[in-house]
Amino acid sequence: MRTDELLALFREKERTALHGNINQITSVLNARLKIFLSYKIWMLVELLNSVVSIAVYYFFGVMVESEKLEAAGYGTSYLSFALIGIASQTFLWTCVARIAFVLRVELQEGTFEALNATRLKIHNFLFGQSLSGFILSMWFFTSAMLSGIFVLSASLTLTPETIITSIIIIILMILAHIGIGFIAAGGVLILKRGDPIVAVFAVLTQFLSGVLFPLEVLPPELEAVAKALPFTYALRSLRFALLTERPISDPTIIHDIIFCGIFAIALIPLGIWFFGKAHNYAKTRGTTGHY
Amino acid sequence: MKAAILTQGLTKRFPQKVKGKKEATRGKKNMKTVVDRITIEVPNGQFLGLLGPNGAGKTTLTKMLVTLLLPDEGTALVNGYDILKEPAKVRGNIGHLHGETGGRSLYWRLSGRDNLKLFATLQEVPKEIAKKRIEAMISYFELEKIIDREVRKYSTGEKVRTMLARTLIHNPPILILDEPTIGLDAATAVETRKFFTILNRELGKTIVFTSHVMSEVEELCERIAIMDKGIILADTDPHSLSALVKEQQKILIHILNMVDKKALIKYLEDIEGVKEVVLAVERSPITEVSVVVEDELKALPILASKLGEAGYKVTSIEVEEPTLEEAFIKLTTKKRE
Ligand SMILES: Nc1ncnc2c1ncn2[C@@H]1O[C@H](COP(=O)(O)OP(=O)(O)OP(=O)(O)O)[C@@H](O)[C@H]1O
Ligand SMILES: [Mg+2]
Repeated sequence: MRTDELLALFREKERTALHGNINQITSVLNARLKIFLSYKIWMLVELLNSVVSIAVYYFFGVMVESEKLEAAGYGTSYLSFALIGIASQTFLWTCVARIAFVLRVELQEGTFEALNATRLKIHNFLFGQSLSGFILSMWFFTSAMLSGIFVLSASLTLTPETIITSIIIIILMILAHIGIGFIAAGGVLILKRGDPIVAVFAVLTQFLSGVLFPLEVLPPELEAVAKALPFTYALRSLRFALLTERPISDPTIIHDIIFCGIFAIALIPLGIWFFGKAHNYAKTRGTTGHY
Repeated sequence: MKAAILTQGLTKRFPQKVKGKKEATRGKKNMKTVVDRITIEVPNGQFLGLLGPNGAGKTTLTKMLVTLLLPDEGTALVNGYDILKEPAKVRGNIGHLHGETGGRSLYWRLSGRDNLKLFATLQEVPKEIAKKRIEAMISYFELEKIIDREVRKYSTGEKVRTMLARTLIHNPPILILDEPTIGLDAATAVETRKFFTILNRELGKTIVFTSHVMSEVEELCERIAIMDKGIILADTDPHSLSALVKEQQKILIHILNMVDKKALIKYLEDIEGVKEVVLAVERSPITEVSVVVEDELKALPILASKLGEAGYKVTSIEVEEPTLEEAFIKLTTKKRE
């Protein structure tokens, strides 16, 4: 192409500009998914990981007595019980740890600074990343559940109603944790690391909230801690819906949904506010770059 | 007409690492002023060179203009928008290219095309216009063969060209080019610089171009701000800069197997037009002498023949340009006079 042709293009006056948060969010989301899909081997390993861990728990897990499960109201199949727990923890990781992880990589590589030199609003960065996390974890969750059902013949009560209830619970599970993820990402901006803290939080939640055993088997002090974690409630309701076909109008499920909703309403604005502060701090310190 | 860039007392301090303490603290004492109350106006359409040695504060100053860094004091208007009050508008009016990142600021896992599309959207370029511009730039920068490959497979030159396309995607009136030709081979660097000149002349883009190479800035810029230790030492133009450089030219002579150095100095000093003779480093068997003269081009042949007559084995004799640091010293002393 000749220089004058290129210049002619830049001389044209633009009448309209492409506005809107949706465009920004979807382009961040789109880029992130493409990057993720470019790690083909890693994606396969990740998927195998969840399937294998379900199988492992299946063989060791049969030892948890079914009376204890039944007493807690989760039916009698430990396999199905553990399957839901293991499959759901992918949401915990994507909500709490993923944005922080992605941000660290972007800080190291210098792409975060490049984004910061555009009109991108910083909360749209957070929303786009969250959405990509949501899509990815939905994919892992579904594949883990399907392999549990078809490979290990876990028995779940899958009716249109329980599926809709589950989706609602999952969305609230995500919303309740995403604010913590924003705060963790802000921590990364300030400390330039922070993954250990995030990891500890996620592991603790995973352990306490009953991924592998009903809460009732925990010592009372730990049970009290567990009862402050939103994941505990989301997981409980998800199990009630998928194991014993409780409807969305069930008082326990309604209680749990409201509990998660309160967390979401409190933590998401707090997370966005904190991330904004952290972003300004990094811009003061000059640490948004890759040094 | 409003200025493209107008800074007012722009200041940036960074915490300094203190001995014995692991983390830098933000106490007043431990702060190092990297950009020190800089006030400068860049009119629309100007090609400004920001020249300074490593650590002068060029990148820090330019990053504040792009709103990547918050100033500690002062502010700036970019195309009329305040960097503190309307940072998003400021960013939309600037194309920023930071050569030092060496293409790291692109997403390496995405193709060049996906990178360009992403940044076009983030810079709010309407879809059809973005598409046209991307195609045009792919063709202009000869990226057709690689544009759909992942950026991590690009050569440095290809990355820089892709970054350059990204810098222009939203057709910003102001370009901030922070050592944009770093890592490019000589021929490509020349081409790229030519392109900047075209952007400035033909499209009237205001350009701030940082560099620590005098000749580069001299060639390109109509105005040159020389920066060191956070302040602008001189605000000058290429002619004055080259006059200053000429003033400090020296003749550098290499002589083989020298025995009596004092005799050599005496001999040189007595030649007409010689102002000063300095014995420089000695790398046996070569002795290096630098000679300050009134007029280099006149003195060069005289020195060469006189040294030959006296039987000195001259291996090389040439005019030496002053280094940036030497030019700075001259400038600072001039300022004090
Ligand atoms: N984020 C930061 N934290 C602390 N010090 C910093 C930071 N960024 C830059 N500095 C310091 O500020 C000074 C100026 O740096 P700057 O990068 O602006 O210089 P420069 O003129 O661009 O140099 P170069 O030619 O090497 O690119 C340097 O001493 C550098 O170490
Ligand atoms: Mg620099």
